[in-house]
Amino acid sequence: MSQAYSTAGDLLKSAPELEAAPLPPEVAELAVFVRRARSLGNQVAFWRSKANLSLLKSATQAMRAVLLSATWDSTDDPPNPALLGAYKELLVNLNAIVESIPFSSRVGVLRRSLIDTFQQVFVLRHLCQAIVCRLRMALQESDAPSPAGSLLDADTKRAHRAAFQSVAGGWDNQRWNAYDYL
Amino acid sequence: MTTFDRGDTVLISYPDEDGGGMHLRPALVLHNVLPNDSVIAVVPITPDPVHLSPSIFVQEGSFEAARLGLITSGYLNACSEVVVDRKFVNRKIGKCPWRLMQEFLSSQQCSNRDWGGSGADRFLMSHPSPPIR
Repeated sequence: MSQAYSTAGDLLKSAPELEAAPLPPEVAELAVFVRRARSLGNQVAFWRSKANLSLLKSATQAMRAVLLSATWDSTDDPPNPALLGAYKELLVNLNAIVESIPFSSRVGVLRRSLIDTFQQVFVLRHLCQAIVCRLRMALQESDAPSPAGSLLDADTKRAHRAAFQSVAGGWDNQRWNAYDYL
Repeated sequence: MTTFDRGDTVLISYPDEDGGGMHLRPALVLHNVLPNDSVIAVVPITPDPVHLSPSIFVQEGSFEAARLGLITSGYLNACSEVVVDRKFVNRKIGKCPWRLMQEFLSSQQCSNRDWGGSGADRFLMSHPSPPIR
């Protein structure tokens, strides 16, 4: 079997030396897979594989469940910083994969056979990004960029807030401060 | 300066209740913005639907949310456009998928018909200019 036709199962079997991240099992499986898949990211045949697509789908469901059930920002117990590190590494690898999947051919035509795969990887990357933001907010990570509010005077801020008052229902929701960490 | 297209999702700086700090909140760009434009018309994407406005719910973790760049569930509210100074726009985070944008625009048109005009029209109707003497 050529390297280009490797499946998720082959990749996982050949990765015993990678240490387990503190992630849910399906997400940990994905983390191992994407670390290995980075080197094959430009192979069309690899991404066409149904086994790989099904792994991506189950990982998407697992990540969605993690995001929807996350209580990091509503409990007093801060999350494990190692968890944030693991998701950050996963995000870096997913970003690299999104960039490298040959979604269009050399002449700019969309490869229909890769649409499902691309959508799954795109959603996975986004879910991972959302989890990283929520974890950073829960851990109060200090390198969040400041939206430069101190440069504006109080009247300008008040007028700006008033403009949104009637139409921005719930913008004061603390949970939405996750956007400060995006 | 950056240009923005209709359908882009941007982060807007928004002061908190006590006016001390600023936070970032997502909004949808309604009209194309050229480099020299000083203002930008946006529709806020909110955690709660706006009263009396048709709203489209976008679920966090969906493909639409991913395209929009939303990391939380939110509502796209029709007929609630706000014109803000460009200095409050932080950056672009995503793009509204074409089908969702069409759905949003059509619900906005329906809402305009029900209310008898756009948000700006409604403002002018409720604040008529004083008669010239």
